[in-house]
Order: sequence, then structure tokens, then C-alpha cells
Amino acid sequence: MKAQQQRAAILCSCCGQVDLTEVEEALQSRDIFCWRHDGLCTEDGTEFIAGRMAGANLEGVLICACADEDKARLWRRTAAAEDVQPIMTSVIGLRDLPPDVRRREVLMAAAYQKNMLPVSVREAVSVPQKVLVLGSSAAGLRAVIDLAEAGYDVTVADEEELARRALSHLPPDLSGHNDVCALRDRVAESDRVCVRAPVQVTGIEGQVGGFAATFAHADGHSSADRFGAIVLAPGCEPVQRGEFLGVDVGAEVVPVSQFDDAMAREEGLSVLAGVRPHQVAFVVPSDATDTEVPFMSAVRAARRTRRVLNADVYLLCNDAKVTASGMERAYRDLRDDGVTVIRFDEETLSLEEADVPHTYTDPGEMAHPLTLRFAGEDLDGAGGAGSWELPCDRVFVADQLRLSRMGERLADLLELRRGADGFLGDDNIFQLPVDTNRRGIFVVGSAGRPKTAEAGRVDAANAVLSVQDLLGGGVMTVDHAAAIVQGEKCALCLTCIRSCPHTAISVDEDEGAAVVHREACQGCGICAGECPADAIQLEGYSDDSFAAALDVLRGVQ
Amino acid sequence: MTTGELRTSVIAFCCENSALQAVEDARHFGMTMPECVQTIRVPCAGKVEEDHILKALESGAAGVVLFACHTENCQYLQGNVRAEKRLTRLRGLLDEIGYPADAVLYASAAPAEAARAARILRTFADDLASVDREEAIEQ
Amino acid sequence: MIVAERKAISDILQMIEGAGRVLVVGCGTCVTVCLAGGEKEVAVCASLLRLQNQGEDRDLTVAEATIERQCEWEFARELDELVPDCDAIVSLACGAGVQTLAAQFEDTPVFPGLNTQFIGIPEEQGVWTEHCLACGECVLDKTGGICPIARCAKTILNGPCGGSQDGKCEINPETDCAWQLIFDRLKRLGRLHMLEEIEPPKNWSHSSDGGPRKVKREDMIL
Ligand code: SF4
Ligand code: SF4
Ligand code: SF4
Ligand code: SF4
Repeated sequence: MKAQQQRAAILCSCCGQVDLTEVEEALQSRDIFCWRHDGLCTEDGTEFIAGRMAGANLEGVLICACADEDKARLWRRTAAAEDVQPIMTSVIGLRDLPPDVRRREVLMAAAYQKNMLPVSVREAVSVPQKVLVLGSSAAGLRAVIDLAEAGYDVTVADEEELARRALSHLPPDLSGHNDVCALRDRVAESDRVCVRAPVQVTGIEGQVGGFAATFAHADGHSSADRFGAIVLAPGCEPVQRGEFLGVDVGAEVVPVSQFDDAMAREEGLSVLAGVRPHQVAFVVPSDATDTEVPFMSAVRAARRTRRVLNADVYLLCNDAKVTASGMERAYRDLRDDGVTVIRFDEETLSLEEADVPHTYTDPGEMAHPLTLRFAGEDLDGAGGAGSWELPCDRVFVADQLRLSRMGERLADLLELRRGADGFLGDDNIFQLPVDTNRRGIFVVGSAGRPKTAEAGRVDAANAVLSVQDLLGGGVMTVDHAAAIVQGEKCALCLTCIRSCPHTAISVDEDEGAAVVHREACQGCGICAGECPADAIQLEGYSDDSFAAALDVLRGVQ
Repeated sequence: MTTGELRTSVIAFCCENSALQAVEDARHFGMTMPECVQTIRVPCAGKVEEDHILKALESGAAGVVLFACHTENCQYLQGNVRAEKRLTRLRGLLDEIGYPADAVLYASAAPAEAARAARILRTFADDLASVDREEAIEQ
Repeated sequence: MIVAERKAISDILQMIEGAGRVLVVGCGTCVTVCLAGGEKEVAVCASLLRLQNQGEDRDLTVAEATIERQCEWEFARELDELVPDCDAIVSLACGAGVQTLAAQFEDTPVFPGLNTQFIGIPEEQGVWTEHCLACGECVLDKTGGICPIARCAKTILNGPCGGSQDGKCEINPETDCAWQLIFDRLKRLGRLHMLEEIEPPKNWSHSSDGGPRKVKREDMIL
């Protein structure tokens, strides 16, 4: 403790443009010493500040001048050189404030300085130039390649063989089979990429700049590595349908994903089990219209069926989603190919199966074992309630999509927030396009929410930018944590750990208290808001500063 | 603690990512704003603790507004959700002691919504004033 | 841990009626963890008392303090200097804490600000459930680590009763049937045979039925 510490203010009159009398009086009445200058923004100004502070043994200094960020930083450093804590150095501009609020703002700034907590200074820490990509959806593979090209060492890990999911469930990313294969081959060839697949991710500890991951390999051995950042790309998968409109899913009622699967394996239209159907319906029920992806898959499959089989193909879709990009075009293509599009109301649609399962004897036989029935007003044109029937040989149902199991496991492991629909992407605008609630963990492709290949590519590019932003050239600048736990007050109730939206707090076993990780803390103060022991203070917004602010407001009235 | 000096005033805890900007703009553009509004800058509405709000009332503020970001627009994801829940509980507590719960309000605004912020504050201040009047008439 | 819940402020107001200087005391251990009586709740409670008093004629000052554990003499003594200045203490601790303060500060009325509920765990953040009744003779070894005393509405030792439905308790369909849980757990552990043993009536004299209990460790007595 230095003896007799004082606080001072250095005020700039901006060549007489700012009347400082009132401000000065107010500060002096609070025992804050004032120096004046009439142009702090000049070279001379900085010298003036340094000169006044030199040896003044100040506890805090308030600099009132219209400084830009760089100037403000320079002055804070000048103050730090005189042993004034950075947070005790406030810089506020007065010139642009209306005269009647100047006094209040200055007093507020002074109040906020009071009773601040000592903190460390910003520092640059070196971080591994290594990125872990988890999962190998098409967008993930793209990210692997882009990251490697950007100069990072990339490890890509998947629970299955590389790109297996991307290849077997093509619809989610809507990437062509060949595209995915080409990406996969490029990943395998790159000498900047380490492939770990199939592998289980058994743990990921630590925070951005130093994620420590452990893997359990298929052959029983385990390995570990450290990464600066993580990109998640586990993709999505179709929800298994047991039945559709009361008819069991099987040979005749088939999910579109199975159609795609068969196409991907180049088994042709084998899902049609040898028959040459004459009437085929593709149905996009409302549970598959959260994103345009299942619809687009159905469109693609319908067109293909129409072209290859020359059958009568119908596409039944719900009114729910028509605005997504490319939708209009899709309708046009369907029409051009001769697919009949029918808008239907889910409530009125029913499906019936012929009582006796039909065995086809002749591949060309027409049986129409299924009947789709629409009920509604005036379907018969006579004004009464009626119904209209569409007999068909096959009904393909668009898939409802969900985050893949691997994605779910990763979300749990990494304590990630999931959106209302269960995907890793959030509706929160601050997380768009690829952020998650944790700093240094990004999500690309359909794990964020089902998206097209093009959108996945954009994700990958964004993820690379974000990684570069964060890891830079191997140096990450970290501030002190904005939130500070006063260990002796902490009851380890875990409330802050559970409620920090950024998973920035953990238990420090040695201290017996919660500890905030500075690299992950984003300074929201939610933890401080929740702590039942009042054991967390937030830099710049301590409890005392609120009390002081209230005092000022009372005084100013 | 001295009371009374803030009697006619409204303290608005404003999230610095949204509402603070809106309120400042409203002032800047000269929109009709109740004279009595004083803002306190907070990093996120989720930082504001029950006791800060209560202390503001104790200091004599006629009302307190907790001004947050819109749903799904919190930079810190959960701050506005936490703030709203906390405020709901607080209103219950005020009710328990027979203090008008309407003296505290949760509201949201985007940074660009100066007019909305001004309107919320105007309505709030007017409502407070009319409650005061009723009380005055009763007595 | 001990789980408690704040009493209605109106109850607290009634208790402190007539007192001009009130000290609200929190406890930094169990009730901080269950969010009922830590430093923040003390601040909230004190503020509410002061606010309520605004506009009333009487003078009321409310002081605040929170100590590490109210159920320890040493910590309670930290209040020595504050207590003489007050007419009443509102303790935001469990019953043990309230009584410790009452014993420590004989001349000052000490009022409970909380209703002590049970020994339990946080099911999730903000939700606590009862897990132990402190019966004095633990039977968890026989019941797969699930307490029938605290978690079975009827405290049945040879359950379940006929009211167990779909794994839920007939007293409250939101509560899991403890005996269903016990059965499931023992099955999982491959120890279902343990249920074949009939558990004889419990000796409740080890519990509070035997009068106030006392635990001694001779070697630790100084
Ligand atoms: S909320 Fe407070 S008391 Fe609880 S663990 Fe965090 S710092 Fe400790
Ligand atoms: S300030 Fe926000 S981000 Fe930082 S530790 Fe607290 S809750 Fe987490
Ligand atoms: S007084 Fe009660 S609440 Fe506090 S530590 Fe003791 S047992 Fe726990
Ligand atoms: S058997 Fe008794 S001591 Fe054991 S958990 Fe149940 S109530 Fe507690």
C-alpha cells in the first residue's frame, strides 16, 4: 500500500470549446485533484499527462478528452507506467456531450473508478496453430481443406470413416456424391491434415487457445493433442420414421433419404424393388419443412424419377415454406420436367394401403397398392364436401432432419447450447453465421441447421476467418477476465458455473472456489448477477460502482 | 439513507449493447422523453441484481426500468432471459410487501429503436405519475 | 445439504414488529448454496424491509451481515459488535443457525427468516428434492442407494405399496415411486434377491422419536 494516494483528473478544454468550471468544481468537491490543458490530443498533450502523473503517486486518474481508441490506450499505458491500474484510468470525451450532461458523466466516470478491483493487464499468449475439425460433413471437409490452405495444422476426427455420413445421407448438404469424394481425397492427401477416423472423442478440456482433446481409437489405444480452436461439422441425419399417415414405412412407403442413399451407392432406382411404377408420389409433410433442405431433396428425387422412369410423378407439399431461396426455381424445374405439384393441407390428407399386400410378378405390372386421399370442400366441383384420390405405387416421404448423434454427443461434451430445434446453430444473431456459445468453437454445415452445399461452403469460409481472427499468427491477445471471483466469499454453489452462457467458469480445486477463465469470459456479468454469495465482481461494474452511481444521480438531482 | 431526492425520477438500467444507445439517441434527436429518466450503463441486463434495483427504489426512485435486448438478440445469449426472470420474481417480492410492483419494469429495445425506447419510458413515467395521483386522491 | 426457503416477507414483518433496528444475518454455507440465505438474499431481504417501511411513521434501520456458518459459535461471535445495536435479528439460516444465534445472543430476539425444508440435492439449477430424513440408522445398503424413508411418501420399508403406478407415486404423480427406483437399481446391480428379505420394523428411537439426539466423538473432545 502506498501512502496518501490521491485521485486526479486531467481535463482538456479543447482550445476553450469546453467550459470546465462546473466539472472542475464537482470533481474538487469529491477530493479529485484537477489539471487543465487546452489540447490533450496534441503531442504535447501526452507529454503533459506523463509529466503530471510522474511521481504523483496517484491511485486513479480520469482523463477528459476526446481521444480515439489508440490515444486512449496510449494514455492508459502512460498511466500504467506510473503504477496507476488500467481500470483506474478512465478516458472520456467531453466536447461532444451537451453541456448539461458533462458534469454528470464526469462524476459517473469518477464513481465507476472507485473501489475497482486490481486486475492484470492484457497480454499476448502463444497458442497452437492447430485446429480440430470434429465430424466430416461436406462442409466440414471443406473447412479442413480451407484451414490447411490457410496454414493451420488440421486434425479431422470422426466417429465413423471419413465422410461416411456425408456420402450416405447426401440430402443434408445436398452435395453431389462426386464432390464429397473429391473433398475426401484431397483431405487424405494433404500433408497438413491428420485424419483420426473412426475414433471416439473422449474428452475436451480447457478453453480457446488450449483445448486438450483425448481420443479413443478403434484398436483400443488412446491419444491426446492440443488445439487452438475447434470446428464442429458432424452434420445432421434423418429422423427414422416408423409410419406415415398410419401406414408402416417399408417397401411401399419410403423415406426420401433411402432413395438418396441408393442413388449415392449407385444402385440406381433399386428402392423401387424391381417394379416399374407408373404413379409415384413424393410428399413433403410439415415436420420436414423447417428448412428447405428436405424439400429440395424431394424435388431432386422427384425430377430424377420422372426423367429415368418416365412415370407419373406428383410432388405434394405443404404451404408452410415457399420463400427460401431457390424455391421458385425448383417449382419451375419441376413443371418443366413434367412433375405435377400439388399443394395440400396436412389435415385433409390420408393414406390407404390395399388390404392384401401385393406381390409383383411382372416387373411392368401396375398395381397401385396405395391410395392418397385428399378430403375437402368442393373437391368434386359441386360445392359439397368431397374427396379426391391419387392411387400410387410408391409414396416417398421427405425426411425430418435432426442433429446427428455425434453432434449430440459433442454438444454434451462441450457444453454447447442448442437451438430450439436441437441443432447447434442458434437463432441469436450474435452467433451467426458460425459461432457457438463458446469462444473458439465454431459450427459449420448442417449441424448448425440443415443447409445446402453452397451455404456449407460459405460456413467453411467463415469458420476459417473466425479461426484466423482468433489465433492470428500464433499469438492470441487475452485480457484479464472481466469477472473476478473473490475466492474467500465463494461457497462453490456452482450457480455461476451453470449459468455462464459461455462456459467460462470452472471449479478451482486448489483454491476451493470458482475460477473464471479469462480467455473465454466475455464480460457479460451474468455470473455476478446470479452469485448468491455476491462473490463475483465485474470490472467496471462492481457493486460499489452501482452504489456510487446512485449516489451521483441523487446528488446531481 | 437520504430519500426523497429522487422521488420523481426513473432509473433505467440500460444494456450498453442495445437500449443505452436507443435512449441516448432518443435524447440526441430531441424525442419527447420524460425529464426524470436517469440512465445507468450496464454490460448486460443479466448483470443487474435484485438488490441493485431495490437500492434504486430505496434511494427514492419512483420507478426502475431494466432495459435489455430483444429476445434472441442478447449478445450474451441468456442475459435478457435471466433479467426478465429475475424481474418477475422481484415484482412478486414487491407485491408481498405491498409496494406497487408496477414500479419496476422489464423492457427491451434494439439499439436503433430510439423512438420505441422513448415511448416505453414515456408510458412508464406517465403510469407512475397516474398511480401517484390516485394515491394522492385516496389520501 | 440443508435446503431452505425464504418465509413470506409479511411473516418476517410481523415478527419484527416494534423493532426499530433489525439485523438480517445470512449464512455462507448450505443456504447460500440453495439460494435462500446468502449475502445476496440478505441484501434483498433487508432492502424489502426498508422499502416496506418507507412511508410508515416509525424509524427502521436494517443492517446486514453474512457469516461463514451460522451453526458455529466462532462464526456467530463475529456478530458480537453488531448485535448490541439492534432490537431484533432475522436469521436467514436453517433452524440450527437460528438457534445458534439465539443461544449466542440471549438478550436479543432471533427470528427465522427461512423455513428449513430438508436434506436434499439440487435436482437441477433452481429445483431441490428431499433425499434424507436423518433417521439415524441408514438403510441405503439394502435399498440400492435410494432412501425409502425420505423418498417414499409412506416411508414403507418393504415396498412398493399398491399405489405405485407407472413408476410414479400415488400421493403425487410428479414424484417417482421410490420403490420402483429401488427395484430398478437393484435389478441393474444384479441384487434383486435382496428384496426377498423382509425388513423388520425400524427402530425409530435412533431418529427424532428417541428425543433430541447427540453425537459424540470422545477422542475429539478437548
Ligand atoms: S456463484 Fe458465487 S458462490 Fe457460487 S460458485 Fe460461483 S462464485 Fe462461488
Ligand atoms: S462475465 Fe459472463 S462470460 Fe464472463 S464468466 Fe461471467 S457469465 Fe461467464
Ligand atoms: S447454519 Fe444451517 S445452513 Fe448454515 S451452515 Fe449450518 S447447517 Fe448449513
Ligand atoms: S435411511 Fe435414514 S439416514 Fe439413510 S438416507 Fe434415508 S433417512 Fe437418511
